[in-house]
Amino acid sequence: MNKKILFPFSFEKNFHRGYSWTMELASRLNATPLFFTVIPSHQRDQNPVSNVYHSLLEARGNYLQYFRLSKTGKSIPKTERLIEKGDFTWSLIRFVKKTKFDIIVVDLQASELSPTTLQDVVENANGVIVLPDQKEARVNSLAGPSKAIEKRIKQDFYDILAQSNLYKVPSNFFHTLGRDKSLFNYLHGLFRKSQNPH
Amino acid sequence: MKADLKSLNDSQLIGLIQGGNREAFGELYDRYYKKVYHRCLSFAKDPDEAFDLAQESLMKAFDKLYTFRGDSSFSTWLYTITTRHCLAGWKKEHRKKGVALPGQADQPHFDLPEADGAVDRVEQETIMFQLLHALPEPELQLLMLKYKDGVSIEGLQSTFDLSSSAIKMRLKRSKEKLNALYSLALTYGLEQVLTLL
Repeated sequence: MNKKILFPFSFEKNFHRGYSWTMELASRLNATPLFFTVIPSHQRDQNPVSNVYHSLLEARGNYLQYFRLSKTGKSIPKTERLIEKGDFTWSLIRFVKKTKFDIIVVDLQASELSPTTLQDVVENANGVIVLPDQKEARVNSLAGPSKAIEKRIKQDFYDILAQSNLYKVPSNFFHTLGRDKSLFNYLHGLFRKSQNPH
Repeated sequence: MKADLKSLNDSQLIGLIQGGNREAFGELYDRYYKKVYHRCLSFAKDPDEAFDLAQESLMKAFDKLYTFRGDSSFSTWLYTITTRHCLAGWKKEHRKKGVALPGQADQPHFDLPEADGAVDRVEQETIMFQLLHALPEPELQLLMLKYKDGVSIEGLQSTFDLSSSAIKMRLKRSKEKLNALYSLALTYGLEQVLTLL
């Protein structure tokens, strides 16, 4: 059975980083990401649903631009979306209580979950990864040879994972992730660096 | 750098993308993703399906960017890919449901008047879909329920609270209207005809 990853986000915030990282995680775990957002009840926009899909397409473009322009051999995961109306916190808690996901990826800057809400999410989840704060706008330099860019992108993925807070993440998570050859190379590179600081 | 890219036309961006420039890709993608989504909305049964179609169409187009020769504008090329992709999905779904597609001889269908050889099938269908979606909502709803969703005349009677003969008459008139508009669109252009509706 296909693994499922949930990424809750507020479509009015910049959620590109969380979107891209979730897509990369899904690709490595052979999982299906579900992008969950809520249209606030007070939303006066005439076409809020279209705005949500526009935001998702924009995020996808960002993902393709930074992660996928060159063929990496991995297929791009098919995504699912769930758009609800109401209150974000309440809708999210209700949803995670009803549906179990293998991993929930949380980007606090894209969803503004309070510590209490985060605690509720963790209690009702199988595993939660809380991404590190993005302190300043990440300037992904796309200059340079393609291979160097790809190496940098892969490194970014694991750097973010290394800096994330993990809650109840099952032990087979790393085993599955470790099947990705690039993790071996990254760890191998780290190991060699620590042996040879010069 | 991003500001420089905004001043470039589509062909210039494509040249840069083909040379591996990722930011040019981002700029070109940003110019069209909303338009592609809205085009897909006219084929899809709901916004979520339209989103899937839009994602797939954009991927197809950018994967095949190396084949873009510049014979037409990029937007025309992109919309042709989008339309073909949406139509392929639409036909597949309706074959599964056993619903007659417009044009099938054994079912009531939209008669596509003989077109100039230069207007290919995709363009014919694109024009027809655009005209269809420009119809007043009750007419569009009637036609879509009958020919897209396969609702029977009896079903339509209860939906619209009309007699069987009234339903049949409305369907006949709508199809005749579409056929007439289609002929006009071929002669005077789609944009001109859309202003009449």
